[in-house]
Order: sequence, then structure tokens, then C-alpha cells
Amino acid sequence: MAAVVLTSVTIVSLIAACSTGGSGKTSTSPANTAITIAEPTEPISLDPCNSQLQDTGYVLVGNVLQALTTIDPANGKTVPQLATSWKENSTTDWTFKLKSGVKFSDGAAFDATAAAYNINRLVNGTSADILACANRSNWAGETVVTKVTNATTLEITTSVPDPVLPTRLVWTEMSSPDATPTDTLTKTPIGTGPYEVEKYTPTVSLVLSRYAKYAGPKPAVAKATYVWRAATSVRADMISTNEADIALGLAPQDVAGVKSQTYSLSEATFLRLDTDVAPMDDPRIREAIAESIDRKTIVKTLMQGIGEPAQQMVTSINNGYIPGFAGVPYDATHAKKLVAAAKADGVDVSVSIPIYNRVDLYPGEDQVIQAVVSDIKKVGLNAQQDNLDVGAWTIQNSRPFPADRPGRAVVSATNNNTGDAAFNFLTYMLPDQRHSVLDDPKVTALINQANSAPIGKTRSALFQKAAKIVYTTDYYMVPFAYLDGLLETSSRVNYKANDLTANALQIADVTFK
Amino acid sequence: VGSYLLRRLLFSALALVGVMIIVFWLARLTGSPAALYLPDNATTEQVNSFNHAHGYDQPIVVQFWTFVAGASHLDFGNSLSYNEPAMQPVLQFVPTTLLLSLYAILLALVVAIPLGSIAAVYKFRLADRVITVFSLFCSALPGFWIALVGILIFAVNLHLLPTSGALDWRSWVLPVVTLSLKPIGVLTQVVRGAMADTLGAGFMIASRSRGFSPFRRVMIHGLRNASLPIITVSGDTVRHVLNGGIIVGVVFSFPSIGFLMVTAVENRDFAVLQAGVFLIGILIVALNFVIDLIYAYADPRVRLT
Repeated sequence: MAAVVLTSVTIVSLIAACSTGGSGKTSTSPANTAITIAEPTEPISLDPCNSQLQDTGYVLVGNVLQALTTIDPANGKTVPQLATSWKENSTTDWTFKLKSGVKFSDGAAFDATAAAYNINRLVNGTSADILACANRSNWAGETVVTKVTNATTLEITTSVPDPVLPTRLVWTEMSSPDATPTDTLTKTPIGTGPYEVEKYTPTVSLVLSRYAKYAGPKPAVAKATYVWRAATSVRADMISTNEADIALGLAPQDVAGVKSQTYSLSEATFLRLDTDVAPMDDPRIREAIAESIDRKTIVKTLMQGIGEPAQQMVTSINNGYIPGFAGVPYDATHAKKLVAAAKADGVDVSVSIPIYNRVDLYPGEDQVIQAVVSDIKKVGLNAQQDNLDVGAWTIQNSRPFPADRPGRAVVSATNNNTGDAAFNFLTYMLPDQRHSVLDDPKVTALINQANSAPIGKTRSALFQKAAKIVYTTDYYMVPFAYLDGLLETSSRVNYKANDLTANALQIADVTFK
Repeated sequence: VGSYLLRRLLFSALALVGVMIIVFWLARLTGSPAALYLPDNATTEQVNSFNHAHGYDQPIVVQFWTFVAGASHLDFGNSLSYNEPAMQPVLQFVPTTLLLSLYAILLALVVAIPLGSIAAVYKFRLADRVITVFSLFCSALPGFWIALVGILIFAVNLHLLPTSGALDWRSWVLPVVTLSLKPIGVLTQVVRGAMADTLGAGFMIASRSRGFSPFRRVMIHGLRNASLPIITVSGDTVRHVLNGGIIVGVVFSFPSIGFLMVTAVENRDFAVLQAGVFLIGILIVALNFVIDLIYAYADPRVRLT
């Protein structure tokens, strides 16, 4: 019997030893140019057409995959990446000039044909029902016709006037056509970036290694291993034990401090208020909610300064941002008066107002929403916090909304580092859009005008005008905090976080001390 | 024996089918995975397209029959996250899951049997009280707390072990110890009780009069006769350990089927979840057979009929 047990243990041990991948433990040898990055969650796809999903983008964008255009983290402007320039011939016709001599890491040439292939795969969806790519959401039903003039010239014709086409192309990564079929998602993206995928072991690790023939400057890091640790304390601990060199998405209480830095997520968290169900259909109730939230105290104490008080859905790099906008200042006294006035006019203010919170929105979100709910209660409204996981929360956040819903507030967050408000204003503010409860003809007209205007002052002014109505007349959106991320680095690496860190941490930006 | 095993197999298969049906329906209650797999600004058309591509737009009964038809020949569908047949990632973690469970239960037995025996020999004396308090602590302490404290002490402060992962043998220490603590607590109490009854039996007094050493009397004669309740509880404990990889997986990111299933729930990867539940179910059924056979081996009076 003992022999059987011993033999079994030995056999299973050998199999296990052969089958488990490494966690990418980092040696402290000075010659070692490998790093380990600890992240909260594993990518749910490695296909280029899903790069907009945050965990996928973290790993692939800019490291393995590049696009015709990219966002300059310094100012949020769209700048060339694999393109060298572009020209708007008419409202629907564009010409893109591409870099020459660039190769994918499988040796295939990157040229206008490859670019057209990738654009068509994502946008036109020849196999749309099979791929169902996340990045397609940026195109909102728009289709394109591509024409290859020569190896470095690509003509693109859009189905509708599209003044922000270069920005849409930021999230259209280029992958070698041979590795990126049109009828299935790929697990082995082959890009033009400085790194290539060496090994992926589900739930264990993803290893990127330096692409030897990369045309650009040689990065200092030869190998990067991504590991996923759900607990923020464990990720932070991995820095102090030298198991990881960069740990992302940390909670303030878990970091030692000296090696930590914050980075902008270009993301605002807000309450989206129902405007069509009692008691929320009374604008005084919505205004009272907007005035009741003590944003400064919440950010300073509960978020420990990892963020800023917010009055708008977008940050200052976005053209929907209203410069100098005061928003709806904290005024609990006035909010109480508004509630009392509504009550005097027959509005039932005792009715329960559910505040639907998504549990994994950011570290410590539960306590923050507790404070928000407490503030709303203090002005005389019966707010009730309801923490939901993403599936249950989506039912409240997205159309079709529940038929017999009460007057609700849904806690959400939106990230937009593209510089253009079209990428989130439309879905939240236009009637019948996926996340919109609002039906304000003025706002609809302004956003539609803005969306068809070329990039420039007019487009920005129209978006800002619409946003101002949404914040201070409709009291439909109540932003209360801009979210920052918190990361920690080991003592052997240099890394300076920037506005793109949240979406695409560039390994090439990491150097050794 | 043949008819007994056949009957057990039939009942186990029925139980497994029941569990699979419950898991299917509960998983679907969480809604479409589109919320996770498409970004916030996805259009309604895009969500519909995603649901159509993966069959989530079908009535739930139709989805269920599609699942039954596939599962009947072990096809659980494709994993949404890994874009491969769902059983593949599950099978990948079978060796580490089995080994983790085996190490944990062996550690539990190696610690619990001597401790329980000592407590029984010195019943109501200081050693018994110390061991009883220790075993109650082991039983009562929550696994995730033990795991985090273990990381703090042995990884962060003492730098003896890694915080997480599965790189080398050191990565196994904290997960195995965490997983074995509750079984140590439970088994120590069971061994103590069973041994206390056995040590007072007439044949034990006879073995003493025959001049056998205390070690032989307690650990050979005593333990063999006290083994039935220990085997019974060990069987339950192994089942707990097999599923207990979930906490170990979440805190230590230790690759096990339990952790894979938690990840699958988070990722709304129904196919992997169902394949994982199926395989764990098969392992538990197999385990039950083994325990029955050990039971018969340990006590020839037991007949598998």
C-alpha cells in the first residue's frame, strides 16, 4: 500500500513539475534584464481586435502590437505610429502614408495590404458574428472601404463622415495576417512592436520577449513576465520580496510609499440618475443629490488622495472638458431645501432610491459609495446602497433597463484618453443609446452636431455645451471623483508612469538602475 | 463487489448529472458574458452580435439542450477566455490539483495521527489539553486569513518563501500548509476520540500483558482498530481539500482546478466552469470508490454488497 502511495506521489510530482509554468520570479542578478509585472487580472483575450479591453491592452498595446496612430500621453493628441502622415481628402475620404521597411515579428512585411487586412477584419467584420470584437465598439456601426495604392499608401473611405478617423485607428492594432485569421480570435498575436509573445500559460503567466529585429531603439528589458494576483496586498508584497518589479492597481494601504507613484486613469466615476421615474423625475431631487456629495472629503479621506474631486465625466485632455467649470458645489443646506420644496409639492421623498454600485470598479469603492449614500441620506432622501457584481450591475447599467425599475442611481466610471468626447458622450447622453436614460432634445442636437464637426474649436464647444446642460440643468450625470491608479516599482528598475499607463504600460519605458 | 460498485457508479453518475444541471442554470442566472467581453461603449447591435455568436440569444432551454448534447460526448464547448476546447485548460491543472491535495492530506495525516494518539494516551492531562486547543484553532481559523498571515510572516518578513505563484518547491509550502490546517484540526480530534475508545478495550490490555512496547501497542494495534472513523473522516477531508484549492488559488494564485473555476466564474466562462465541475465530480466519485476499498481492506468485516 505504502509503495503504491509513494509511486503515485512520485508520478504525479513529475507530471506536475513538467506541467506548471513559472511565475516569473525575478533574479536579483545585475546582469538580469528580465522583469516581472504583477497585475490584478488576466487578459480574457489576446486578439488584437480586443485590445481595448483593459487587461489585454495593458499587455499588448505598444509592446507587441502597434497601430497606424497612437495617443501622445503628454497631451492626449492623436499622433502617427505605423503611419507617417495622413490627409483628409473629403469628409469621408482619407489617405494614410505608412512607414516602409517595418516587419512583423514573424518576418512578414508590414505594408498597406496588411494594414487594410487588419482594418477590414475589425471594422467590416467579414466574420462579424464569429469574432464579435470589443474594439468594434469604437466604430458605432460605421464601415470602411480600403484601397491599397502602393505598399506605403492606403486610401480609406468611411460610410459616414468621420472627422475622428485617425483617433478610431488608435485601437485598430496591426497583426501579421498569417497569424490573425478572420474566422477566429487568435491567441498568438504577431505585431510590429518591440516585444513578441513567448509563452502564455492560462492563469499562471504570460511572457513577452524582446523582438530581436525590432526596427526601433532596443529596449532595456529583454523579457517581461506578467503574473496575476487578485489580492492587492499580495501584489504589493511581491515588490518588497523582489518577486516583481512593477505592481499595478494597488490600494493605498498596501504600499510602502517610497517606491510608489500615482498615474491618471483618465477615468471619472459618477452617478447616472434616472430622469424618468419618481422621485428622480423631479429635477430638484436630482439637483439635491448632486449638491449633497462632499467630493473633497471623500477623495481626501476614503480615497486617501488617490484621485481628485470631479465635476465632469472627462479629464482636461478631452475636448468635452469645460475649462474653469465649477459644476455643482457641495451645499447640503440648499439640497435639504430642494428636497423640502419637492416634498411640499407632493413628491414622495421617503421612497427608496437604490444606488447600484459595481463591486470591482476600483480599490475601496464600497467605502466610497457608503459615504456617497450617507451624504444623500443626510439631505432627506432615502438612498440605499446595493452592491452588485458586474453581471447584475450591467442589467441596471445597460439597455434594455428593467421594466419596473424604481428611480435609481447607477454608479459607473468611464475612461476616455482619446481626447475626443464622442467615445463616451454618445453612449451615455443620446436617447436609446446603450447606457443612456436621458432624452433631452437640446443635448441630442448639440451632440449630433458636435459628432459631425471636424476636430477643432467648434466640435469642442458643442460637446462642452451639451455637457454643461447634462451636469447643471438636467442633473443627469453626477461625477464625483477622477480616479488615479497606484503602482509600485522595485529598487532595481526605473519607470515613470504617464497617462497611458492605465491602458498600455510600455515595457520599453522601463530601464534598470 | 461488482454489483456494489455498479450501484455506486449509477448513483454517483446521477448525482453528477444533477450537479451539472444546477451549475448550468446558476451560471446562466449571472447574465450574458457580453458585459465583460465588450467595452462600456459597445452598441446594442454589437452586444446582440456577441450573444448570437456564442448562442446566448437562444432560449435558455435551447441552450441547455445544446449543452446536454455536447456534454454527452464530453464536449463542453469552447472557452470564451482561452479560445480552445474548455476541457483543455482544466486538464492542464489536474496534476497540480491532485498533488496539492495529496500533499495537504498527507501532511494532515502525518501531523494529526501522532497528535491525536498522544492526546488519547494522555487524556485530560496537559498534553491532551494543549493538543485539543491547537486542533480547535486549526479547525476554526479561516483559510484566507491564514494564507495572508503566512505571506506576511514567511515571505515579507522572513523572506523564506515566495508570496505566490508556482515556481519551485518553496511555492508549495504555504498553499499546502494552509490547505492542511483545517484537516489537521478535524483529524486530530477524530483520532483522539477513536484512539481513546480503542485504548480502553480489552484486547489492548491483553497486548500490554503480552509485553508489547507502548509504541507498538498504540501505533500498530490501537491505530488499526481505530482506523475506521479516521478513514471515514479522511475521505470527507480529501473532498474538502480537493475543492479547497479555491482559497489557496485566489490568495496564492496557485494553479489548480479550483482556482481555474473561480477565474471562470469571474470571466463568465461557462464552458470552463462546467468542464471543471465535471472533472472535479469525476475525481470525487473515483475517490469515493477508493475510500470504500480502503475501508474493506482496513476492516475485513466490512463487505461491499
